[in-house]
Amino acid sequence: MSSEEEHDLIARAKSDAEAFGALYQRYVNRIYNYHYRHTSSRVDAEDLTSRTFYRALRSLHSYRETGAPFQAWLYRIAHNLVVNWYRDHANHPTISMDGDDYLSLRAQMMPSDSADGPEASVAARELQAVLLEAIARLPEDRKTLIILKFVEGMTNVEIGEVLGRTEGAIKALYHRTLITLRLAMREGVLDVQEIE
Amino acid sequence: MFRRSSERYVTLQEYIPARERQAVERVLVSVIVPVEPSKSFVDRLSQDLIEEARRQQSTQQRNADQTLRFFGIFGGLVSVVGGLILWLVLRQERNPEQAQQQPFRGQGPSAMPRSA
Repeated sequence: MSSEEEHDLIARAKSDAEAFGALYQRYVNRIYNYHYRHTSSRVDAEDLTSRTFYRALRSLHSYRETGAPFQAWLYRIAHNLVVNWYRDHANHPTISMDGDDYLSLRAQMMPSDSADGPEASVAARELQAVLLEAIARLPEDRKTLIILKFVEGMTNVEIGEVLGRTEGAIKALYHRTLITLRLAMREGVLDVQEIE
Repeated sequence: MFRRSSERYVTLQEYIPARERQAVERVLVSVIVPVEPSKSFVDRLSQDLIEEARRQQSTQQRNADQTLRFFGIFGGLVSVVGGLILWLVLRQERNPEQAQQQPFRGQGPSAMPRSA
């Protein structure tokens, strides 16, 4: 869908329920994914996804095309809800990622033994597990950055619009996040250079 | 400049070689795989949202109708009152003497000035 088509859809969605339904279909997977990456729980992700779209529906009349792109506007709503979620779950229970969700995710994620042999495959899995846990332990804003960058493929400018920061601030945050993750990987089984 | 992060100090300005940076990014891509919501959830929420959107739009339409009706009635009343005032002013201008005598009207024959 082109940018103009989306603008047209957004304009229609303000007075047409079916058009809002089409907008929902376009973004539901991404918003769900965003919430799931933060909460690591399907139940919480579904709840936050619902609340994101209900809030978007209520506020759509105030959305102006001249401001941030619709995607950034929607993610900003999602981000605000995630911030509240973190506040409500101050002890971060999701860090213990050993529930069904995590196991199914790990099973989905893990490839079968590669051509390099079972040892390399096991090492790679352990490295991924270390990194996954390191990501789960990241502060909310850094986790958001990683999700938006690597799942959504957003640019630093777009991420800045979601987080309400400048492009430079996002670059600096990303740099610090990479350093943290690199340290986590070094503490783990493998050094990053070993996977090359 | 130092900052405490996850039980150790890291240098904020620490340099990451391009190879290491790319390696970390490559592992990140392999770790963060998209997760699909269940179809039943997507369908159910879609129906709920469309119903809510319809309800919201009908409420907005009803509010707009009520506002229009209010201003219609208000405008009508203003027109009637304005017309009445205009009629009285014109009547007064056309017959000023009669208008001056008006305070005596309705007070009975005893209130009328007596002629010699």
